Parts: sequence; C-alpha cells; structure tokens
Amino acid sequence: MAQITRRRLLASTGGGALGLALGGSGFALGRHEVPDASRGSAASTVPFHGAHQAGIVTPAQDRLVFGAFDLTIDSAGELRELMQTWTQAAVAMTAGRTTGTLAQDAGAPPPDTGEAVGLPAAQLTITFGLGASVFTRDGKDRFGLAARRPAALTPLGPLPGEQLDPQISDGDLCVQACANDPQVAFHAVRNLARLARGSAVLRWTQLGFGRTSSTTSDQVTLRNLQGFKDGTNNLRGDDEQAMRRFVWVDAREPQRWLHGGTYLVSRRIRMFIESWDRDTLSDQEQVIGRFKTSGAPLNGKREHDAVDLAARDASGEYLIPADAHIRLAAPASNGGERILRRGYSFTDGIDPKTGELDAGLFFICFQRDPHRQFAAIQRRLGAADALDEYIQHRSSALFAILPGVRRGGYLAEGLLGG
Amino acid sequence: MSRNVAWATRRATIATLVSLAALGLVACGSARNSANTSKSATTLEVTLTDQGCSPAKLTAPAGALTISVSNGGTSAVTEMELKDSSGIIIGERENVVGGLTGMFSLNVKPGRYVMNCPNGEREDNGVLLVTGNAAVSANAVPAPLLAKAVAGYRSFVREETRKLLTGVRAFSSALQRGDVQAAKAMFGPVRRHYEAIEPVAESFGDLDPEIDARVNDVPSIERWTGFHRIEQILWSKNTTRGTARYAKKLVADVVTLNEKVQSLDYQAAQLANGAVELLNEVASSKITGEEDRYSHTDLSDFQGNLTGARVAFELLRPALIAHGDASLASDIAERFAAVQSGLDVYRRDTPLGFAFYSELTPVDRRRLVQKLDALAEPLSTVAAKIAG
Repeated sequence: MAQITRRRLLASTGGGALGLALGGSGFALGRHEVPDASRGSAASTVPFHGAHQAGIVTPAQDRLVFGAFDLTIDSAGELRELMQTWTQAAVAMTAGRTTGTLAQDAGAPPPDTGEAVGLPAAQLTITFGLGASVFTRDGKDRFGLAARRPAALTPLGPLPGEQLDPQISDGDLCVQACANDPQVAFHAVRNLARLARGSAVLRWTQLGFGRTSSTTSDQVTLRNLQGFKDGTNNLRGDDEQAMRRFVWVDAREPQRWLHGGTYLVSRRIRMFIESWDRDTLSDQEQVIGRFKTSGAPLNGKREHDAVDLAARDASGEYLIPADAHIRLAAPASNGGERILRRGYSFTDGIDPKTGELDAGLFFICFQRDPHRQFAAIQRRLGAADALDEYIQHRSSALFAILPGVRRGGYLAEGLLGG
Repeated sequence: MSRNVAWATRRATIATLVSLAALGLVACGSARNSANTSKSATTLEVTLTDQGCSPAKLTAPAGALTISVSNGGTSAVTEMELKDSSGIIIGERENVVGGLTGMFSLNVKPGRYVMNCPNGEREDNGVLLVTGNAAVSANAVPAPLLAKAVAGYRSFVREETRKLLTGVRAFSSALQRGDVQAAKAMFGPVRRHYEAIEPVAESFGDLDPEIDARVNDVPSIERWTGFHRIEQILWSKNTTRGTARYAKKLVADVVTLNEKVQSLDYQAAQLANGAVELLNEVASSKITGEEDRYSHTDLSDFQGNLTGARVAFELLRPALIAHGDASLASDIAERFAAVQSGLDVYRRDTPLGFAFYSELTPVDRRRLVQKLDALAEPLSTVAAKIAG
C-alpha cells in the first residue's frame, strides 16, 4: 500500500470537524490526529508541530494564499474553540489529508470541499497570527485579553509614502498558507474560512506566486516583477543564531504566550510596472543598487559579492548611490537591524481606473520587534528610496505570529488555555 | 427565481436518502451519534499479523459496528482500514504497535467491504460481509415529529399561497385601473409571499419562470412574463400601460400554483434543504440587487426568503432536538436572529416596510452576506440529521 495522500479519506473524522465549527461541543483534541510521517510522503510534507510554527524558516514555497479574518464572536472561549478547530484542520491538511470525509453521507454537504484530493501535500504550511484588534478594538477589551497584549503589537504607522486602503489592511487573525501547488494553498484557506463560519469572516485575501526571497542557504535567488534578484542578502532561515537574534520572540518578552513566536508584517506593494519598464537599464540599476543581470552590487561582479557602501568611482561618486534601495535597506544603514523576508509577487489583473497592471510585491517579513526592525527600515526607505517613484505601499498589516504547537496542543494555547 | 435547478436535484437526492433511511441503512459517521448507537453495536476483533488482517473473513449485521484491532506481534503491520466497494476508506485505526489495541466505530450498510492491513503480505486480504437490514438507529427521529413538521409546513405554504393570490388579484386590479402609485406600493409586499415559498413553486417546472423570471432568464423578451416584466414597465416607463396581459397571466399562474399546493406533500429533508435554498437565493441574487433591479425592493424579498427558511427550521427544530442536536438547533436559531436583526436595521415606515436596496453601501451588503453564510453553513447539515 504505502502511500499517501488525500485519496485516503478518513471516514472516522467525519462529522467531527464540522461539529466543532458549530460550537465546539464534543471537542476531543487529538482524536483523529495521526503521526504526520504516516501520511503523505516525507518529501511532500512539512511537519506542523514544533517549537515554532512552520512557514517562517521553512524554505519558501512557490505559492501563497494569505487570508486576514475578522472575528464575529465575543468571548475568549469561542476564540479558543476556533483555534482548536483550526489546529485540527491544519494538522490534517499539512499532512496531505482532508479536513473530513468526502463521501460519507449523500444527504449532507461533504465536510471537506475536495479540491485538494489527489494532490500531494506540496509542502503546505499554514501559519497563524493575531492582530492587535484581538486585544483591544475601539478602546474596548473585547475578549478580556487586553492585559495580555505584547507591547510591540501596536500600529506601525503612519509611515512615509504609504497610501493605505483600510479594507485590505490589518485584521484580527491571519492565515498564511504556502505550498508548491496553488490549489493546495487555496484549499487550506477556503476550508479554514468555512470552518470559521459564525466565528470569523474573511476581511481580505491575497494570492502570491513566484517567491521573491530565498530564505535558506541552498535556495537560489529569484527575481521580483522588476526583474531584479530579490533577497540576496536576506536572513537565512537555517541560520539559527540569526533567527534567535532577529526573528524569535524570547524570554525578554513579558508575555510568555508569545515566546517562540514572532511578528509578521505584510505590505501590498503596487509596482508601477509600465513606468518601470520605460526606465533605462542603467537607471534601474542605480535605483536598486545592483546590476540587473548578475545581481551583483554596483561595487562588485558577482551576486554574492559583499555590498560596499563606501566604494566610490574615480570622480568620487558613490558606486551605490545615496538613494539606492540596497543602501537604505542595508543593515549598516539601520543600526544593524535585519528582517527575514518571505514575500511573493502578485497580480490582481488591471487597475480599473487606469487599465494598467495591478501587480507588484506582496511583501512579508518576520522579526522579533516590528517597530525597531521593519518600521525603522521602512521609515528610511519611504522617505528617501529612489525606488519610491516606481512603487506604492497600498496595504499594511501586523500580526503576532503564535509560537509552535506541541502534539495534542492547539494554537494560542498559552494565551487562551487554562 | 433561482438561477438553477438545485431544488429539483436536491429533491432527487433526498428521495434516495429517505428511502435508504426508511430501511435504516444510512451510515452515520459522526462521533456524537456513535455514543447513542453503541448500545446495539456489534463488536468484531481483528488481529494484525505479518500476513495482514486476521481473520481474513468476517460477517456482521448491518448497523452500528465496532472493530477492535490488536497487534499480534508484527512489526511490519500497524494499521487496519475498512474500505467500501469503491475502495474508499470508511474507517481505520492506525499505530497499533506491539501489545496495543485500538478500535474504531461506524455504521455499516449491508454489502461487501474490504479489510486492508497495509504492509502485510497481501493488500486488501480481508473481507467483511454485512448482512440483513439494520435496526432503526437509536437516534432516529420519531416519525410523528417529522410528520408534524411536514403538516405545519404544508399549512404554511397554503397560507402564503392564499395571501399571494389575494395580493396578485389586488395588484392586477390596480394595474387595470391605471393606478401606478397603488401598483408600485403593492409590488414588494405581494411578492414577499412568493419569496417565502419559492422553492416549492420552483418544483413545478415552468411555473416559477412564468411568475418570477428576470429578463436575463428568458430566451427572448417576447417570452418574458410575470412580476419582473410588470416591474420593468412600472418603474422604467412609469405607466401601467401594456401591463394588462401580464397581470392577467400572473393571476392565472398563481391560481394554478394555489391549486397545486393544496395536494402537495413534502418530506422533512425537503424543508431543511428548501430553507438552505432560500438563503442561497438571498446571497446570490438579492444581495447583488439583481432581483428587483427596477424597483429596488430587494430587501422585502430578502425578508420573504428569510421568513420561509426560518419557518421551515422552527418546524424541524423539535425533530433536530430529538436527534440529539439541541446545541446545533440553538446555534442555528441564534444565527437566524442575527440575520433578522441585521435586516431590521433597514426597516422603514413605508408601504414596502424596508429601505430601497440602492441605499445600502457595499460594506452594508457584505455584512449581510457574512451573517447569511454563518447561518447557512450549519443549516446545511440539518437535512441529513433528520433524514438519518
């Protein structure tokens, strides 16, 4: 027998997941959990359980479906039920299984929606976070959790140059689903949204393709929609020391429930593609600070040559201009601060007002302090980056990414348990 | 009118389901139910060996079944699966390693099933034969409760149809005497009775399109009749001229509908599925504003759909509670109330009783749909529970 996969429908999980969504009676965590290794081939699954959530230092997959949700419930108990339901579903889906049966009862809607059946797990990771509005909204302590808010979970802005649309910004909860198959990632967010009916509603979603960052040492650097290699000097997820220093929230945070977690910042960055495409090669390179073809910094020859911000040409001009993107973003310009980038390209068709492509970078980064890290860097970029002529930040969101889930546990257990 | 024939399709499905249910053969896999059915359950024992499942042949009566799986000392084989005739796994137990025993429970219909203990010498090496007719499961809904629900729904449909007939007669006479304002004032309130029973009307083939088609539902404009044909003339041209023949046909069609519903019978599952259809109808055509595109009276139709769904649910509620789903029932009731209070925000002291739909912002509309979706999801599970 051996394999694998979603074709093996777990009848025994039948009405369970659905029952949970309806109010949680009869919840028995772990009832149909099975070791991930027995499902899906090892090559196609990423373990769900661990000290940290997957989807952060996991080598970036090719596709993203990101969903931000707003809660429609009003008690912490109901939030816990939702987290338990989602945990159970995420364990199943990341192992390549359905959230319930497809074919148990002809007279009832199938619990799982079915579009991932027959597909491999495709390295699916589902990463969950909480927005500041879970703790207080309009000055109100919605769930009795206000005292548990970590200090850094406060609005980042306003930041220079941004033009944010509130309808596609922020949210109470986030779900980042990444996979090497877009349908697998979509299935994850769709089924989580369905399980959340009556508890949470989708606020906005974003599809991404073409990972724009290499996040581990052995991934080659891909190009963003401006045609440049993006992420050459990114942090590496397999550099544990760097992760501890820049990414994971640790014992210095008084809110213990977040230890082992991190913060996610997302920014939907529209690129003015048509204008960029009319810019000369040399100007594009001056704007970025790298050669387009090789990806080398303007002071070097090869992609991974060290960026030398002090290098000057014969006439005394900086080789990497004062307003070049990589200069302003460099750790040396930001007091040594760094972030783990994990973004994706996107297109949402055309801008209905102009007919120009609505495309760009759905920027995602992880860090242990979004104010000292992302916001400080972006303040510098938004004010002076030569690239600002060709891009605009249209959405922004900040989420506290929960620590990992132990076997038999559930998401946000440290916050909502007991 | 509905965009599709889902009601008819659902009816066919339900008919099959109900006939199976009558024989007590519907598998019922939810964990909640298994507790109730366990008292009459059959238990079979299967041992995992290097060869596979042992014994390789078992029989059981239809109904609740528990399979106890123990490891007979094999390190290669650690799980057992039960598959139906099409190879779909309907139950399994994994990680039964040396010295351990596990079990799983399910309801089985008569037939031949395959037992598979993966990594044994032979795949699919066992057979389970399920015989006879299962006893009616312990949590089956008592027939009198369902009969009462159906009887209640039958009189609701008759009453709404009677009001509809009275209404369209008055509407028709306003049109015939050329009273534009009176006709406009009646349009929404009269339609509401139709919207409340729309899934029933849709079950009569052509009758629903004759009464309720939108312009894009008909193959050519010459074939377009009913409420929306009259709506288009009344609002776009602000006249009753040209409506007489449509008014006459509308009355005749509703008379036919009224005759048909007198003898119509229903199955309980139809009530539940019809309620879901009504909510789908709201989400797909009322919320977009395309139902009453000239008069913008959509919120009144919304109320009709919601009332029809809620009446069906309330009638089924005792049956649902008897089935052991009291918390589901109260959950659904709360969500009905949430949708109603979301709609009540737009009540107005006018003949229509509601704001014109054009007043709602996209955000207002989105909120209404989110509440509807939250209601329709659990409501969609009701039919199978009361039928099984």
